[in-house]
Amino acid sequence: MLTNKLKFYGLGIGLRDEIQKDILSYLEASSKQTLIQWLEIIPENYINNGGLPRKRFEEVLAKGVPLIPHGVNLSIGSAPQNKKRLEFDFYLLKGLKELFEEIKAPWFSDHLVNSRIGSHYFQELIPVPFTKEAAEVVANNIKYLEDYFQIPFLFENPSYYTNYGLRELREQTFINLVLEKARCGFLLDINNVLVNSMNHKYLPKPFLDDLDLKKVVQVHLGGLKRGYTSKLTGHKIKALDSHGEAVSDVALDLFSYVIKKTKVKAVLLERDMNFSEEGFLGLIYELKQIRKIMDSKYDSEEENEAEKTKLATNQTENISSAEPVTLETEANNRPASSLIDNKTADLNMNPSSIMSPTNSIPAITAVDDLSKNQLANDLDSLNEEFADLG
Amino acid sequence: MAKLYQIQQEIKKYFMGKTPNPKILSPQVQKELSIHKSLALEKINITMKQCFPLCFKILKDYWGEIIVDFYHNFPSKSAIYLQMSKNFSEYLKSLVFKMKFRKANFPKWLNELAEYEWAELDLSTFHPQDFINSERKKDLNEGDYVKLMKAHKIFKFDYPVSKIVEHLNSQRKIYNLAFFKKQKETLLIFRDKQDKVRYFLLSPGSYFLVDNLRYGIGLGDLYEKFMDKFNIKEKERLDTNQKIQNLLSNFRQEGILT
Repeated sequence: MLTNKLKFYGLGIGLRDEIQKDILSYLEASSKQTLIQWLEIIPENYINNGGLPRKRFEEVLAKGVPLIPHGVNLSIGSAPQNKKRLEFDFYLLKGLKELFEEIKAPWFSDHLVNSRIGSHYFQELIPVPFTKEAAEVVANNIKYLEDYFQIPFLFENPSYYTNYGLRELREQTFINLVLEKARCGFLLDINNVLVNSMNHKYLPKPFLDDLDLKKVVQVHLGGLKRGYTSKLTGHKIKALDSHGEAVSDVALDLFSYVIKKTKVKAVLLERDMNFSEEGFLGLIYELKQIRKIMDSKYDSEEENEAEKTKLATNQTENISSAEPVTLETEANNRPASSLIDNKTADLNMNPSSIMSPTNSIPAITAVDDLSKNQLANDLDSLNEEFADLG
Repeated sequence: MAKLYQIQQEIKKYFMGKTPNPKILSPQVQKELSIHKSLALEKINITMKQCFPLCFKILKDYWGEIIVDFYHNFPSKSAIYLQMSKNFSEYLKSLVFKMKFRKANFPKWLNELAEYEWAELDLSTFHPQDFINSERKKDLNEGDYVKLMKAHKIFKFDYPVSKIVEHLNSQRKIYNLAFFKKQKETLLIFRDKQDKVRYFLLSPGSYFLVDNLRYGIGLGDLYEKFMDKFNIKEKERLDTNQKIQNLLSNFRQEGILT
């Protein structure tokens, strides 16, 4: 389904129980000048709910902030038996459809994994092997889902800790093949690229260069945990997509790299855990960092467009000063968010709803910088390893 | 190279604690997959601790083993996390009969406690919400039609679950779990107007009333049925009617009666 006509949603954050109150207070206090322009929901958590969970959700709906669903259990990588079409879980599909209609979802997304085998859900995003057959299976599943929901679908590149020892296709070739066959959109999780690059030893920028970035509709930016050991076998990995840490500088740099190459419709700060007392303030700080990168991109785009306009106008004047020439600029399409003065944006926050002692920001930065530096060192050593390999 | 379907069947075996075909999932791949399985178990561990805090209190020495056993033997058939909790309550109910945990000597009322905790969870999110404004009319008349709200469950337990819950919820140290002997009790567990899940301990009389109220009944008919069932003498009827009315008014105030 076509995704190029989707509107721009800007910067968002995941709606999680732990921070819902903070988000709503922040939205109320910041009104139009907000760092949070939309919210991502895990739709499986809102299907057929009554009681308090439903009331809490209705509070969010009442705010009128756009909601975009990002699922975890559609299991688009599940293979059907005997080349028949995969039998989806219709209780899930029906619930999702009702929810998507209620929230007027502009699109929906899920991971390029299988989380269900047969009728069993395994509560984990299990990677799909990078094979041509798997790309075909995934594409067929996506086509079916788009047909059912009648809104565009995006798949997310997952973090994976095994490639099953199969090397039929490289990951990026596999992703591009799915995009080509399914004709759907792409949700690029930059942190997953980083985590995979650390665990599977490749450089993230060349990986990104190989991807069909024009298909990216949405970007996820999350944090990673350095090192993780399986409690079952003691097997160790270098990095885990934890959703519990601040976004690293390396990930922000990759984000900056990506949005210079393509226009995305929505960017999400992804955090699912480790919400400490000053956690929400930390998230606001991270949102500001992301916004800064987005704004500088749009600013430079605007400058370029202005330059182009000037140049084109001069050229036109040279050709014929009598004919009026209309040149489309992107200034009108520029997101409202980029018009906000970052310095004043959160001064409108209600200080009683979200305590924002300015001196706590440097503290967070200091801790983050340390881990970011370690990460940068890791990538440097990875570069060296590759250099050594010739 | 194996077909995707075959690979996934082997993955399924691995996740369910069975031995996969090493030609399809090599020992190295199984080690790598163990990261994914370990993450799944962590998620389930955290979620089930939150959903069954009282069961966790009494099972904590075996909890890790229980989570793995549950994951291997009771895979969820629903994408909804809450349904996995239902599955877990079914698993807990089977636990006292499991040979591998025989030595643990789990209390015999564990299955009833698991059922209670699941009911709390289920009712807290129960849909649809069918509360009406029960304060619009103060008194009930014999001609009124009365019915219990949908967000309720009735349990006839063999053990004093209400006392066990109260004890486990208190900050006191848990003493000998065998202390709670068989003692039948009937509980009406419900979600009130404030969306809190609570319970009423039902006597045989109140159980009879509640049982009739589940499908809706005229108040006059309810009085008659009650008098017949318990052979209430004529001179005591007025007093009994008043008691029933008080109980029903109480139910209405809590928001569980239309």
